Amino acid sequence: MQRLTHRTIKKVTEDIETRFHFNTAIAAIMELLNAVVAESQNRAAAGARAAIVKQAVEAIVVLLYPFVPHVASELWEALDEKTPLDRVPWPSYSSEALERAELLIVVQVDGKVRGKITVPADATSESIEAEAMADPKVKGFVAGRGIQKVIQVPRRLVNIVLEG
Amino acid sequence: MEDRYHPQEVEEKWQRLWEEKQSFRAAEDPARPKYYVLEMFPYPSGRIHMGHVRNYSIGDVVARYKRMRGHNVLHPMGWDAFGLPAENAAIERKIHPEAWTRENILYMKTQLRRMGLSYDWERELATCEPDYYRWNQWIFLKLYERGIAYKKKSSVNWCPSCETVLANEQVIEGACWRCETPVVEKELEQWFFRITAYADELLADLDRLPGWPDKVLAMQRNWIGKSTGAEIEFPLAGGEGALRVFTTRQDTVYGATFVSLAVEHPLALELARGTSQERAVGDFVERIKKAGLARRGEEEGEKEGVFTGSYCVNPFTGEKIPIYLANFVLMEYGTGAVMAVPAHDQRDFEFAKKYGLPIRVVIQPQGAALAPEAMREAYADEGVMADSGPFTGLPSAEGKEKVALHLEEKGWGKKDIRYRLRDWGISRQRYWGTPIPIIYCPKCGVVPVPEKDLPVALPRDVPFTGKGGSPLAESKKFVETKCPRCGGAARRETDTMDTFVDSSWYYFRYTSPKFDAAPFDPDKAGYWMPVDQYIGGVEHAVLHLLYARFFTKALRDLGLAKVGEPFANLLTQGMVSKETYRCEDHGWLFPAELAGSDQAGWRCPHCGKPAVKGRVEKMSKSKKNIVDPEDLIAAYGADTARLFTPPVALYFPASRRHERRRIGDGARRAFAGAQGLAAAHAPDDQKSH
Repeated sequence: MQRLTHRTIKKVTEDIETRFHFNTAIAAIMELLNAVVAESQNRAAAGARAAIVKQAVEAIVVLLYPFVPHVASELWEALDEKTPLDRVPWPSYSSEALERAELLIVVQVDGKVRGKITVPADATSESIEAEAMADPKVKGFVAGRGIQKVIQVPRRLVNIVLEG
Repeated sequence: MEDRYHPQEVEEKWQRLWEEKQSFRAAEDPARPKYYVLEMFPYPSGRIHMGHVRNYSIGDVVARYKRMRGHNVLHPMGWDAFGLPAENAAIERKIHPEAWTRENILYMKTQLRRMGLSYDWERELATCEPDYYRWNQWIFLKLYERGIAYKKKSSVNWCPSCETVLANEQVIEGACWRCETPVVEKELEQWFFRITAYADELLADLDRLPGWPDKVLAMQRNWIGKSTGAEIEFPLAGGEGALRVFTTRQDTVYGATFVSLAVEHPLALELARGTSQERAVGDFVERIKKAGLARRGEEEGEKEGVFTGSYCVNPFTGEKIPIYLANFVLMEYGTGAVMAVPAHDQRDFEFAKKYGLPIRVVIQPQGAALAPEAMREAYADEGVMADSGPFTGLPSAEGKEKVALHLEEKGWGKKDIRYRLRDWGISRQRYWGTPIPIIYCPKCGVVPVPEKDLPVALPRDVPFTGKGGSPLAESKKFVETKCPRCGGAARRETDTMDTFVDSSWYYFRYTSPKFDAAPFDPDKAGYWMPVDQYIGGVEHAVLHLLYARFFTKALRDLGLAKVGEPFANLLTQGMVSKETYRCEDHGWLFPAELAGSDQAGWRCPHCGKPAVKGRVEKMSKSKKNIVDPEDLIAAYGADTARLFTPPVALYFPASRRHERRRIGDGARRAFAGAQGLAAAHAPDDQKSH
């Protein structure tokens, strides 16, 4: 969520600044909005990540302001913000927050895609291999066969080669 | 907060607040980076249209964004208020142009306010205000002092029935756009601005505008049209004097088998005098002049000419070659005389074929040998010089250089540079414009109005008939005056300035709109200029933008402007277009009045016949494919109109009822989502309401 917020800020900034691509900027804001809606419906997450969601909501309203200043001002008021919206500085994005915190790894069995796993960005190759083996779908394909070797493409792919 | 969003109330509330707090007032502040964003100001035609909404929405996004980024933003608005439509309204509806214009400004200003655009309205200006146009006159006087404004005779399109000058665009198939009388060419004394004095700089500085679209830069380059070549003298055979021609292809000079003159060439009639061709030449000149300027010089037109009965000598071949008049040669371009090389110029080729003149190949393409009798068209590209005396065998580029040097050595001519750009004729026989501040005295001649007597104000006692030349000439009170030099009876100039003069420097005026010692305060303009982002229609890619660049340079040379280019970044927008619908019996139809549906097909509401979906065309009232922004705002609010104008609203396939649902639904959904979240994340004491 935090990453998406920063990514959206970056996109909207660049779209206004360099390209006048306002429709893609709006689309990016809507994407963030949809993500926030989904997140806040997730009760379990709500408590722990409320601060991040609030940050995202504020970003949405500020990012919307140049395009739809009336609605944005009204929403800002509803958020009980003290500074008038037209005096609020444009949000900045940090490249740190933009860094992918998680990686999506494709798992193949004998060169065919059999599953996908999400691992922390700093996961070791051992833990990635363990995660891959633990994936229920992959388990189904590997069950009862011997493993010849496991090949890894760092940050992207695990290929499990079975014995002939 | 209520559940439903009511755009009218909410938007008006914020618009009121912004106004009360003067949120968008701009003042110089050296501590902060400045940002000047400007949309081309509108002509007050009566109502805002979608093209305006689009440009202003883009400008407003940029303005509000830059403020949040900590810039000191100048975002002004005003009115390009002089022009012909106001005068036409006066003729047709008997309402004074000023009243018509002011009504329109009031209405359109209300519309713009309702859009919630973040303008500093304190800086609003209208070019029809004496406070504004007096500075047009002031600038004119300064340019006159420097020889940049001058008067000369020039050929114009003239409608004998309306007794007025017509722009080329107002000549439709050789006839007046209003009364369909055939247009004639007429010589008139006109005022000009010597924009050509800046041709080189206007061209060179295009390279310093990386923030402009390439397409616009190319159009400007083409309009300025620099050509490098040579001027060559062809001595008259058996007489004094010579014809001077300009060519960019001096490498083809050995192939020049005749010379063509414009009918306005000073020697056109003289060359035929006493020859058997005298009569034919006289008739030809008269006929071509009558055809009007607008249609001449067109590539596709039929090439026509007449032999003058005289000859000149090609200095390179020593040959005696005939002199013709040709309808496609224009006095305005080059010297009004061209050396005709039929083998290597398509127009000369067609002309030579028609009149049986010799075609001589003097440029051969690589790996081929052209023969005149086999040629179907001219070979206009470069190649290797052939049959060209000592130059034979040289490639064109090298040949051009050598031929030019040879010319200068022999005293036959010189290297030369020409521009397609012409001086800017600013005289208009109109009422609703800036009076040209000049007085004609029988004793002292042309006398500029003294600065202290500005403005020369428009008189009110002028009838609007649409006929009879300059309307100002009808006002005795205006015309009759005293000579500022000798005090004797004198007459005022009765032409007004082209309204493009007004828009050539208005962006400077915004920086100090009430300044009364000069067109603008040089210090304030020094802080704000150049415009950081200029936004407007691509139809202004050449004239307005070129004139504005010219004015900026001229104002710099007057010591007023501190920049040489007015607009650092330019965003141009195409026409706002939409599909059209048509019934074979009832003509164009509004999308909203169509019967039927998307699935079942659309039908004419009057007769039930199928409505044929036509091309996507520029929005226009006559084709009934307009969307009125006011309707959009009334139905969904300004935010929606602003947000959806560029990408969405223009491409709706079917009826406007349908459009409305889609726009409205989208906006409402988005708002409901955001509103729900805002409520959820507001402090607890707010949630209970």
